[in-house]
Amino acid sequence: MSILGGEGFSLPVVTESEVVDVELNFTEAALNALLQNMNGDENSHVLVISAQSGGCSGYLYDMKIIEDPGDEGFQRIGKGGIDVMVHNKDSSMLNGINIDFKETLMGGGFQIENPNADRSCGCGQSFG
Amino acid sequence: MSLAFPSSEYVILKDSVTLLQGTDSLNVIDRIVSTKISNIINLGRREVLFCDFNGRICDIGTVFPIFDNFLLVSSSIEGSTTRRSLVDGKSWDENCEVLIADDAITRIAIFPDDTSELLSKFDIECPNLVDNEIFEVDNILISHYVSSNEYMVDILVPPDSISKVTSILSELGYVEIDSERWGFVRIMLGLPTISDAKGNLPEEMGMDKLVSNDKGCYPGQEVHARIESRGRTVKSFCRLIGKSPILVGKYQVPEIGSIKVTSSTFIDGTCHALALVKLTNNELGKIHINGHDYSVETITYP
Repeated sequence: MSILGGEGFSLPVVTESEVVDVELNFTEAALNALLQNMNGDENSHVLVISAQSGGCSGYLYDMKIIEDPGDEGFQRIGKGGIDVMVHNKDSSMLNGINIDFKETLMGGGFQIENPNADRSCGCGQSFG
Repeated sequence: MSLAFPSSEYVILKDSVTLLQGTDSLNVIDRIVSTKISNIINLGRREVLFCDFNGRICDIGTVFPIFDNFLLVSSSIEGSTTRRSLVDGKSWDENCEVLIADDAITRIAIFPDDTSELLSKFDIECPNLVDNEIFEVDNILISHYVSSNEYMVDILVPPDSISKVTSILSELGYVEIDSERWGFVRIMLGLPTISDAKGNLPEEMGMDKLVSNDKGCYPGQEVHARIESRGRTVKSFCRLIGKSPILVGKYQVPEIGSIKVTSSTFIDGTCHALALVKLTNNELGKIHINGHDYSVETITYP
């Protein structure tokens, strides 16, 4: 038998994270860019904004356009005809974020300003 | 107690053990350690550092990939905090389950006299041993590696098989190291625990090798990159040896300012200690603390 097949492994570590009602603020430029990226799939697809460990400051933002995953565990926020979803586990970290879109030759794209962050890294992709 | 370097001895360590299962486990660990592990091979091992956003050490661990699973052996003091940051840092769509394995797996660190003879007792015949390779024999994992220029063997074993392993070691004449000798051995080999390292920069601890400057962003990366580009740190991790005992704590030293002693033993009239020392001159061979002389040697993590 393998070392991983024995006894003594405890149940997964469960971390209780605070769940808050999420508010998101998009600039006009961000909504336009988002609509463009949706490419007409607004009825079947959603934007998911999430946070995961990593980056210089501890947490990284992630934005994905995916097929609607359903409401379980998520909060759905309608913005300019697009459904934006945030998982409950990320709600306290992402509540109140301001999402902008900048078109520049360098460092362009979606940019997030987070009022919950004590710090962020130079490239703006991570916070803590 | 012998003041010799360890040989034919072993110590049973009370480390924290975490099992990560699922296809995204490697990503979940890799994102928060300062050491590049994305290229780690199956049945290998790699020492890793967990740092905070200021680049200071939070935990020290070893990662063992076992097919689709990863075992993380880290300090018992910081184990639950490290585990929590792994769980908190998972993205909603990542396939990774974090399990506590403290009661399922124990680590035995062995200082072999003859590595081949030792491994052959576990039915491992390997004329060309590769460092950091691990072998799975029944329900135990055996790895061979170099630490502080000494060959060491780690055995990860379920609690109900510890006696089987220690019986084999006894047959070969190996003896268990008690806590007093382990304290001495650790200092002589320059093996820091999290108590020595926590809150210090990897470069100060001589642990630069556990910082991968080519892996991209991770917590503390900006600070580590700045230190690497400037090429210097103020303090260094050192071994002190003298004839008077010294307690763990901070001291003012006339030649260099304050030093922080993090581990200390006093055996047979000789004090061996580990300390973080502000080295203005790397050739500083001796310092005076409270009127007593201590020799100073800089330690580099192997």
